[in-house]
Amino acid sequence: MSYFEFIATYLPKLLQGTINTVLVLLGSAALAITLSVVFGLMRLSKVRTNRVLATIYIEFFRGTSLLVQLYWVYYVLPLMGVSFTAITSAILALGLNFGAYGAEIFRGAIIAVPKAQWEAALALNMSPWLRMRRIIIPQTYLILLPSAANLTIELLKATALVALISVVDLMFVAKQINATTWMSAQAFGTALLLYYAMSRFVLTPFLRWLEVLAARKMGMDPRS
Amino acid sequence: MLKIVKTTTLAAIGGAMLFASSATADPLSDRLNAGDPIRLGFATAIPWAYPGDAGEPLGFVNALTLVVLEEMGITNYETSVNEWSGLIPGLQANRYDIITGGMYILKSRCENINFSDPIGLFGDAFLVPAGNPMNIHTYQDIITTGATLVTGAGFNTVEAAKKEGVPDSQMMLVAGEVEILAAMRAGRADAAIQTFFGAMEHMEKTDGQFDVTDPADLPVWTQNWVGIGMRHEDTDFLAAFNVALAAVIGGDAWMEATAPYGYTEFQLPGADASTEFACTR
Repeated sequence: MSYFEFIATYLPKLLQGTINTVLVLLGSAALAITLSVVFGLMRLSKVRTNRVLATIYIEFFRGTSLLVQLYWVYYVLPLMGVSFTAITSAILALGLNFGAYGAEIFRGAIIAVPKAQWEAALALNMSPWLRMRRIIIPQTYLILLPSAANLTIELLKATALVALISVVDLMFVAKQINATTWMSAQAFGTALLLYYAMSRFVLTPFLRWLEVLAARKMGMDPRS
Repeated sequence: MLKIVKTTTLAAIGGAMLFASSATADPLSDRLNAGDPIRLGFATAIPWAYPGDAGEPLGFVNALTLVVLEEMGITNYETSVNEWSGLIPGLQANRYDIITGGMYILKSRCENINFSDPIGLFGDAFLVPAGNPMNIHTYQDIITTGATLVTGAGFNTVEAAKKEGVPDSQMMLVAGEVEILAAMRAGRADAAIQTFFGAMEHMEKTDGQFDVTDPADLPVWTQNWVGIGMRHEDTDFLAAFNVALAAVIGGDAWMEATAPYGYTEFQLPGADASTEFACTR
């Protein structure tokens, strides 16, 4: 079977898997962003309980293996009476794991906003919440976007792990094709190309666009 | 999507203690009686059990399970394709209802799940490079030649190799059938031990790259009976399954369904085969 025949036969299946990969990516990215903001802020809270809770969350999910977390959500939680479908388990585990990294990036970005900005907002008698929302957070975008972009690309590639808890994603389909045809080079080679295409031609331009947008919002030249 | 699974085990134990004679069915039977489909869990292990293009259950274990289920009046089913080593955890996590992967009935597995009556007796064989350059026929040959032996994590062959004295340093454990062949092709291992059927499949798919040794070279005790895996609590379903199994095993429907996958009368478990005995080994 030539590579063209292979593509003609199996590309539709691989694309079907790609759709699930994208779903997992979108779901877990949304969850991770939410958790990053919540726990990033909690780490900076004046209330000790908030700081402790956030530290526990970040330490636990950043300090243990993503694969083990996936297995936990998928195989162990049902034994305790909580059962999610495979794709929900995948989104949950990935979101929780990457949210822990994201929380640290977000915390770092807030700290990196110049002290004068905080003081100016205080001088204008802004409430802490208003100050955070209108003055500090908008200035974090430029600081955190490069690392957040890195993390998002990392997340896209980490979605391949969810094939191990029977989510029918791109990796799962590639493995199935390999198992029935034994055409390993073609099956995994095509999967590699699809992952690369997603990250190079969709994700990276999108994240770059966000950076330009954030820079423009700050009144800066995006190239500087 | 959150489902809170009731603590049915506790309820079942409590129920059994209070109404020892009442005829409350197990959770699976209840669900099937309510019209839910039965969920078949298996991995990709050609020709035992594997998914078709649309996820349909192929392979002889799936085929004969469908014959038994039809005898029970169950024609409504779903499939779930998993990693081999995730099959038992997935069953316990209620991801599917029965394991049709073609699982050997082994003591360590019986501690975690129930098995139906045997559906066949199967042996293992070595997959070796064409011409068998290291002259490997038994586990002892592995030890004396110092060859690297590859097999799947959670396979029965891991225990067998240990019992025969193959040191851990010579064992290479990979995720499943696909990875076994990949390891052999890449020359990372000198021999693979797997089911005779699995080895034959690998040999046929690789155009003379590999040979399969005679399964009769291996000790008789390494032969194993295969059963369908079920949860411990689904006892009524197990009993009903066994009754239906006894009615169809070796019959025309059974042989016709499994013939395309190479299953023959030689694989039939024999009259004296019992899961109870297999579970002690």
